Amino acid sequence: MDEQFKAKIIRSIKNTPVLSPSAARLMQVAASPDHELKDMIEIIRGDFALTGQLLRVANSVAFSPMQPITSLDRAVAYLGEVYLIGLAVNSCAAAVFDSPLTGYEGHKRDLWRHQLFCALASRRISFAAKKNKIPGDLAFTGGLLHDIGKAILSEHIVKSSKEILEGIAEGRYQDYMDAEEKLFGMDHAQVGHILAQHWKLPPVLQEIILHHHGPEEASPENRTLVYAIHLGDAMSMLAGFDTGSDGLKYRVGTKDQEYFTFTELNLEAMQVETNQEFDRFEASINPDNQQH
Amino acid sequence: MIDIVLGIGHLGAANMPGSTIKTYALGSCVALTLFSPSCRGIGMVHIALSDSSINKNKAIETPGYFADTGFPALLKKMAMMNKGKQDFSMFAKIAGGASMIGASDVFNIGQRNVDQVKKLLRGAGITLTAEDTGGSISRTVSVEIGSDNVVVYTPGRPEWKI
Repeated sequence: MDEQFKAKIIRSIKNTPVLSPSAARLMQVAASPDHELKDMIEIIRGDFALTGQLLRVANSVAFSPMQPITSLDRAVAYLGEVYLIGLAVNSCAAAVFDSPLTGYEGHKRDLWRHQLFCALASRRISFAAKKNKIPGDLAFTGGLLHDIGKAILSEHIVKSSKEILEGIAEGRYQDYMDAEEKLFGMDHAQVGHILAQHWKLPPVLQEIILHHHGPEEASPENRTLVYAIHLGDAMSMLAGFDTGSDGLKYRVGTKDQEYFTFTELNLEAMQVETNQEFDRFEASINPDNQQH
Repeated sequence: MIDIVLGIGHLGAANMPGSTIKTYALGSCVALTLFSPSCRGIGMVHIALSDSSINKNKAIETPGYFADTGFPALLKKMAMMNKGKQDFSMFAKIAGGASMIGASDVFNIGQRNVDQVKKLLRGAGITLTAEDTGGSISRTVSVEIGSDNVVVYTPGRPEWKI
């Protein structure tokens, strides 16, 4: 590994703002299998910015409640955990998600949209797990953070996409991950893992970020969960929500039927529903945003 | 002159010279472009999936989302430009229908989209004169009224025409 390059990455990560205390505690609680919604409400009660956002979204045109929602408890009960986590991550990691991924020829907010679609898809896929039942909301949280490494790696790999794409076409690299590893000594999953440690994310989320392109390398107890995000990532790119030059340029596992029960039609039905949830989420947080 | 940008499941048509129609980031989605020599018009639909029976409400809300509802909707829009008449000299070009590297059959949504669009074109007697489909590339396509070319773009290489 190029130690100088790694040192640059570490410096970038250290300069990245840490998560707010409420966001960090929310991630911890979200990763706990027997948590309750009221635990999360107590965490954000003191976060006025996030509370304000939740109330605004709950009363937005996208939701149009019969009566105005004026309390945090009602807003969270109305929106559910997915919105609570989504808004918390969106607001506390805005600097990361808003940056244009120049190294991937991506645009501002491409990373957020890709991860949001992946998160919603991963949650739906998780409900089809064969053996180990996995919490859908944890799959959502993992999906929302899986590619954070790209935000850091991007600024250090500017103008590399042409070489990588030619290398993949000529068979010198198996896919984009292989190219990142061979050219820079580390791939975006490894970079994301270091960032996840800097943010003190729970171990299960760190594992998702590190192994989302190689779910077979995840621990046995988390493998199905990581596989759900792996497939959600693929669905997001197939649906057109990629992050730039690396769109579709990853190998996807073929053991989906070993871990999940879904047919071609089930998968396509999931895509429609995920698209509808995505549109609603985006409309609620960005009313003026033109949809993709 | 107008510039139309299509989102997922949306369709549009124009016949004013110099106008453009464009759609972005076709992964497994397919952009079907129809050319009508009679009215010198062009229409395009950004199709996400092949069969509307999986979600009829979505098909009603956004007919272009599915090939089997998007294709007739686009034909109807094209006929409106042609004084309500179908143009029997109409021809088509398609782009998109990509997949991930090494994907299993279940995840080959792109190929299913391409197969369905071709079947619908054959059924309507419309000739497919060009296609740029498959592979693992995300395509952005555009067309200018007055030209017969569909311009295809993907990051990392110069744009090309079909």
